Amino acid sequence: MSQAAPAGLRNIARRQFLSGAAAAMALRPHPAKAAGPRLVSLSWAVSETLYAMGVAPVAAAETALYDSVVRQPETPASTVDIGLQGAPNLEYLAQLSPDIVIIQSWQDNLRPALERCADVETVDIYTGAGDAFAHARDAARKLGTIAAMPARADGLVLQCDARLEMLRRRLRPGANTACLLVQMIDETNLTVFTAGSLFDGALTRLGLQNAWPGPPSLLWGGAVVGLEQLAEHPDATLILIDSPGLAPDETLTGSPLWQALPPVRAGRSHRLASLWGFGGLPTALRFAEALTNAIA
Amino acid sequence: MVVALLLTAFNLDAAFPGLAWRALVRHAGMGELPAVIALYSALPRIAVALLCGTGLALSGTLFQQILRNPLAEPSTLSVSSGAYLAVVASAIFWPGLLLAGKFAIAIAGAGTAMALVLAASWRQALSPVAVSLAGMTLNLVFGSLASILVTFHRDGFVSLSFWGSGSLRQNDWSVTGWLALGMLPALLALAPSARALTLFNLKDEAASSLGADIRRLGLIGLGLATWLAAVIVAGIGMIGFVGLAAPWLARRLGAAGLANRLWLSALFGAALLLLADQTLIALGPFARALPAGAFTACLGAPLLFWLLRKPLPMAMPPAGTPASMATGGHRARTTLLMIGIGLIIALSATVTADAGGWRLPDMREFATAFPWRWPRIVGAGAGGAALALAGAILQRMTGNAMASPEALGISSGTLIGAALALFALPAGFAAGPMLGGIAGAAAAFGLIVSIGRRCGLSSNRMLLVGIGFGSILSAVSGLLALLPDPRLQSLQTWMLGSTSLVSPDAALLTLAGTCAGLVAALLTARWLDILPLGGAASLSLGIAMSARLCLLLLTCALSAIASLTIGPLSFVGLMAPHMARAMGMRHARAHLKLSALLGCGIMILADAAGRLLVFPYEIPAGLLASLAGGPYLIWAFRHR
Repeated sequence: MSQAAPAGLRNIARRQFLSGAAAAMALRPHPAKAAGPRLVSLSWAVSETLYAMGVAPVAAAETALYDSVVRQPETPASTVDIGLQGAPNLEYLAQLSPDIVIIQSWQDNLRPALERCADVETVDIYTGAGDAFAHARDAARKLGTIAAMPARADGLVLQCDARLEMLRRRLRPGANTACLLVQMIDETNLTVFTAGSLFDGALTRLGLQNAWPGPPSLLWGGAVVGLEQLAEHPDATLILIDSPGLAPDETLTGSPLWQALPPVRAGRSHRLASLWGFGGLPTALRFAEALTNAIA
Repeated sequence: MVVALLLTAFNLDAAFPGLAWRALVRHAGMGELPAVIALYSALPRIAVALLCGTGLALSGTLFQQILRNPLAEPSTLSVSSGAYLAVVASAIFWPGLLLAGKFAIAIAGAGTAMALVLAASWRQALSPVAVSLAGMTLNLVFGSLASILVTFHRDGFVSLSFWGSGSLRQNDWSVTGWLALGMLPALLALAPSARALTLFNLKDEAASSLGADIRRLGLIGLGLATWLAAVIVAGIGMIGFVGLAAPWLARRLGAAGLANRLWLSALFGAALLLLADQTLIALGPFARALPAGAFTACLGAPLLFWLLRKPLPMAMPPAGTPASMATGGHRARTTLLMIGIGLIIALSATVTADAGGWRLPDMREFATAFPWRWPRIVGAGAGGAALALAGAILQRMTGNAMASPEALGISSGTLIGAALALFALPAGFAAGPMLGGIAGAAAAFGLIVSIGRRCGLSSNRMLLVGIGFGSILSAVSGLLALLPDPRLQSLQTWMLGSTSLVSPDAALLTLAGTCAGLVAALLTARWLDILPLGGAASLSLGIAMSARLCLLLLTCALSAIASLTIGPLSFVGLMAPHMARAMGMRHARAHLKLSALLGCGIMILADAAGRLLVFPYEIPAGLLASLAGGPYLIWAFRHR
């Protein structure tokens, strides 16, 4: 993990500088020689949190797809791909002789197999209940403990809180806005992020409200809806988050129905660059940055 | 129809009270929201439901008329899944393809599927049982291919599978327009040929004596039906049941003549799909998120079981007496095969992949890998053998070489139970899917026995029960795929028959179960030698119902054991017994033994290939085997 992690972090800092936002994760490159345990991350939310703390696991799941969907922080060069999140290559895992394998609770079916070669730690972010943002925050601290770098985890959480507070102050004048957070599934079906989602947690911490009243039907805090259902909330601010992996598509936003939605006609609709709705603390902060930049 | 229209009117009225429909366009033009929603969401949705319902019903009626098979419809013939696979592949490899391109690709995919089904069942005179079995088998192969594409090209859980589930939601009139345009050529061609197609009411000999080029006519009709189904898949995705139910309703109402049945079933089709979709809307927000296609597919399975109560027309010709090429030399073949399997096991146990390629490991690597390697080899081998045994028993019992445990529905039942348990039980309960799987297998078994009782536990009809289960399975997995939920991934790898998570205990348990099954099967060998002689002969030889029940029970147990390890779709239960027979194994004992050996070898090979091909990613062994099984099926039944 020698030079990889700092290089990745420099890259992020540069990107965020270029995008006009002050570095979200104002982490200075950590001294890379860290004699922590050998970690393996089997989910992207865990991977991105570890990378953001400057921890390079020996292996992580689906690194190539991670780098195209989650995109940042980048996978450190020393971290190898261990296979699918739901079906890692166990023999290869054993060859790497990790100390700790980190899974999320939805991967519990892997636990018996993984326990045969390493200690297994579970972090809970998406449980179908509660506040995913708070869970992501707790998960970051827990990961810090697991990686034997609690100070870095504290740093990440504190910086995240501080950054959110700054963003909230920037929003103050227009605060009390109720937002609809939607993401395309296909040309006619949308996911709306409900209470319990990571983005909902970030939204409320910015002092904004989620305009969608319904409960989640998806594990990560979302529900499948159509445009006609969005019309039921004429006073909301409409936030369309581009879908990772789907080419930005004008079929939806060009349709007469979209164009007739009150928020669109009133100029209260914004489009955010693609974000993966199932991430950890760094994703939540990226969302908060992008949202603030859009509506402030 | 009346109910559908009333419900639609009710929904429209509830959503847009007091809307002056005449002024709709004017109001929408001025951008008034309720008018815009009515004009661009509610109305196109109704139009799409009517169009698709009509198209599916016509397609189903045509298929049923020409194939003389009341079970034929786009989804049981694998026409829909062929089109779906083609479109999924194109969406991955050529993203941003326009709808017109999607239409062309869907039609090509559907046409290929239809051609494969015909090719596989040609030798059996396109008998309903043969066509249905071939269609169902291909359906499973296409389904597993589509799953692998989606699994390995998943875009952060925004799943392609959602698209395939047949959501009728619309934001404008574009899909309606494309559907109408795409269906028009088929409808225009259908009008003049409907009269000629009534020839298929006659028996084949009678029809050909009329001098009509009945084959060409049949192909044209099948082509039109395939075209219609493909256009609908390209437009909105997979919608089950309607193509089956609408023609059935038309028949039940005694519509005489093909033209009348076409009209009536088109009417029923349109009404059914509209009714299903409007019901979902009326049920409230949660139901509204469900695509109509997934909903109708769930409704379809009970109807299939209902239709299966009656015997299918044109019984299957008895399976040809096995080629009696080599009656001696079994021992030599078996020995040779065992040496071969020994080699496969040795290679599979040692060869290791890394970023650089394949190689033999050093001692340390071998020692690390071995605790992981042996359970999967044992599990795959034992699972393959169990499935092959089940297939061999089933093929001998029914005298049908196309029979397989997959067709019996046990495997699908196991998976349905496991899938439901995975979602219904709390996340931490690791044994849930396993228990659910056993419950599912038991339920499937109960249904098979209850249906089998009516038809003497030997009829080919029993095999078709699997079609019903297969369609429930695809409906359930269709519903689950709607939840972009990461737990799906573990379900999916399991459904595809992933062996990597097989624990040492599970491997040994599978092995023990398979050994017990083998002993039991060898004990029943005498029955199996007599059963294919036919009902009367075996009855006179004193083989009672209870013997058949025993055999069925054994088959179910073996396939349940296997599908929990290597997944429900491997087709080893079809391939291995068939190969063993082709190698000249006439007597039940030899046939059973060789089938088990072959099944074992095929699965171990598939497991090793899946581990080595795309390192560090793993292709599930069951999936790889099914990819070999589909083509084998077509080839084997072409050259019988």
